Amino acid sequence: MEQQEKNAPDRELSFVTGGEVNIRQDPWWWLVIAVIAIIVLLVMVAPVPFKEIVVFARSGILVTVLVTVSSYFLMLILGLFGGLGRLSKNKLIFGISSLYVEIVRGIPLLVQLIAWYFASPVAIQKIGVWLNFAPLIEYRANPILTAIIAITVCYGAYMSEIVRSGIQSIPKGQMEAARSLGMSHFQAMRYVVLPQAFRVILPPMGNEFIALLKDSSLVSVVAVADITRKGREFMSAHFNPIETWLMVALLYLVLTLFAARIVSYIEKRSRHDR
Amino acid sequence: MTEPIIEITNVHKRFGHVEALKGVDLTVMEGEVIVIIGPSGSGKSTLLRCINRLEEYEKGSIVVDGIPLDTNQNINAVRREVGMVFQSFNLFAHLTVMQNLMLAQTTVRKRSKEEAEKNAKELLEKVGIPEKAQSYPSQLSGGQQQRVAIARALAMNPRVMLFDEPTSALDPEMIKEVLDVMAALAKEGMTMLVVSHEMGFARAAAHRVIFMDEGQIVEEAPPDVFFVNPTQERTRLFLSKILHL
Amino acid sequence: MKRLLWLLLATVLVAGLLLPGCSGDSGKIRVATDATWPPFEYVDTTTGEIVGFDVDLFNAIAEEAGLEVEWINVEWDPLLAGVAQGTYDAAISSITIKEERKADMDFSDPYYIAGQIIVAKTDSAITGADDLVGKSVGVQSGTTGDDEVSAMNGVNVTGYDEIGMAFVALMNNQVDAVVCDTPVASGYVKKYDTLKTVGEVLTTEEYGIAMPKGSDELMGKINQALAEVKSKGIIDQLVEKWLVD
Repeated sequence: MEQQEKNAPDRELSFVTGGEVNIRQDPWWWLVIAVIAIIVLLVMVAPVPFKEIVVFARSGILVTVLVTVSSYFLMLILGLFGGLGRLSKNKLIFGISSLYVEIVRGIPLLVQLIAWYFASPVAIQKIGVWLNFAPLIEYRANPILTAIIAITVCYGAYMSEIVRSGIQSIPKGQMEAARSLGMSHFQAMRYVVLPQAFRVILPPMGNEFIALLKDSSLVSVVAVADITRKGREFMSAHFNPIETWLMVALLYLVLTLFAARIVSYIEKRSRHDR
Repeated sequence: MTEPIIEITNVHKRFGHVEALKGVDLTVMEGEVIVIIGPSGSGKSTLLRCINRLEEYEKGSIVVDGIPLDTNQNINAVRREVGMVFQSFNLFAHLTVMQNLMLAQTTVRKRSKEEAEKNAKELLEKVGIPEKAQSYPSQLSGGQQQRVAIARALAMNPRVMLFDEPTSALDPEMIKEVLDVMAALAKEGMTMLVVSHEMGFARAAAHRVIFMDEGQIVEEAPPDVFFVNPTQERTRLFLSKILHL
Repeated sequence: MKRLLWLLLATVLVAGLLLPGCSGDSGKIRVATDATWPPFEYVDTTTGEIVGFDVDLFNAIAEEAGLEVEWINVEWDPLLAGVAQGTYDAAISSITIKEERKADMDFSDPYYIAGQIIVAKTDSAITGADDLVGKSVGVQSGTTGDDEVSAMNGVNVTGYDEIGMAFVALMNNQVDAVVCDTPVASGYVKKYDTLKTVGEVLTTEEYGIAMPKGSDELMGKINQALAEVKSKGIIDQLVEKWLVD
């Protein structure tokens, strides 16, 4: 019985749930392969400029992935604390988290990136002067680190709201049952509420990753040599905007499509009613 | 039936402007089975939930097994000794039946995994569904889920079991299987407070039946007296409405 | 779940290792440029090095003045803001010496005289600046080309983040012409035979090395070295190398 079920999945549903990882059963993997095939085709058929672009942008790809993945995991942690803070009965904690969310959500990421890149060294230097602490006075912004912090802080605010609403979506009865069994608030959250909330926020979490991946192109504005910046450098050196931006778009597309497949795989694996 | 295990004294509770409990006094002896009936809004569920502090009260006192419900420490201690079964089961949806039964045992009672598992298996046998150990709650019928919920509460070896309308959300054909488990529990001498509309259960298993109305206990008596010869007019009125056969 | 946590830890560690130390290097001066403006500053895509007229010039100046240079490749807007703020010690990036800019930064003596020129499609009827009236012209926002065209009456200015986009717009007939610096213009005209330069150089402007306000010591050194470099004929050599074809 079970064997049959696996081999003949409900085609309609597999689009929604992401289906099996198996290519036979998840058509969306074909899209990833197709885009990779287009890139390979371009590189082979017209190595000038396409192969050159890919080779030149290599380090940029690494930077983009590094910035995206680092910011993502850091903002998950920030979002968890922010979300819990937004649910706190402690007025101070609630106030700080709410302020954080409201302010950060009200400013575009680009502006925040620029603010961090330019304002933080000034602030740190001023603190250095005030404390008369030499290393701080000499501080120079490390662009990648600053960019990661900026993105983390920005996306963390949105993640806080996702976490908060995820936790709130878990029926109160779950917490009540856990508490009535003698579990502490912390234990109830850790073993009962948060695991269930996690499954609820998994889809938006996946979304945020993909959005973050694309937003990471903004770091090119603050001296981080990501794919976009590399593309810009190549294009201006060779005067070929169309080809360059086409390849850059394809590179981003591969990354986001691949990430989307991973996300839906994780979602599928975490479903517990199979 | 020896010592008083729950002492409720002059408890008042309000929800906003509405007074849900207006000075309730109740003493429950160990091993007693009490069924509480009454119209909706009478405060019977609220009273039950006050006993394990799922609801807070403003005035009065509740002492369970010698422990007053004041500090956080005491409240957690009381909750270890008081098991609760909810109308909507509230099983942990992301865990298997087995894990549901074992979770509080390992985290609260600090039992070893093996011990917790052994207890869980025995309890599943007791409530009649040992084969469902690895199933998820969503794969069970309502009656099965509630039986698992009872087992989960029993896994903590509580001194008292509270039942908040345990069969109200069940399809009729599944009510009996749950009541059977409850009746068996009563026979074993468990102290039980049951809020329910199941009069058959009350007649068969209760030592005392309590009628609550408008936040107060109106009448209490053993079932043979309560159902045959209620003293209060309000009780008579309520009974006439619900005993339609 | 555990695996995800390890992945997270690994990423953070790798990030920490890859990130270069961020203390200021004493002795080296930080020179910023937006290496997307050939032939003055651009990236040699085979070596990954920043190259160009400005790069060679400043390296020559630095050698003359006994300075060590740390090159920083950064976008146009943050570059200007960075100089104004003091994040960079100097910037050489085809920056035109303008009165408004002097409010935020100091300039060295001019090192090159450039001009803006119009680029149009080969089949265009535009022959000079007068023909631009009523037409749309693409420019790079914030450059002197932008200023020039915006000052013309009756001309629709369309600003782009980078000049490449303006040229794409021109080739797609979304704008009628593009105005930008002569070297960049000739680069694009050489590459695409549907484009041509039109008329004479519109304006002349002087490029200077920008420094944060109050950089008197550095200014002195640079101006002196610049004069030396000029007298040694190095600038003429660079013009030969980069700007004449």
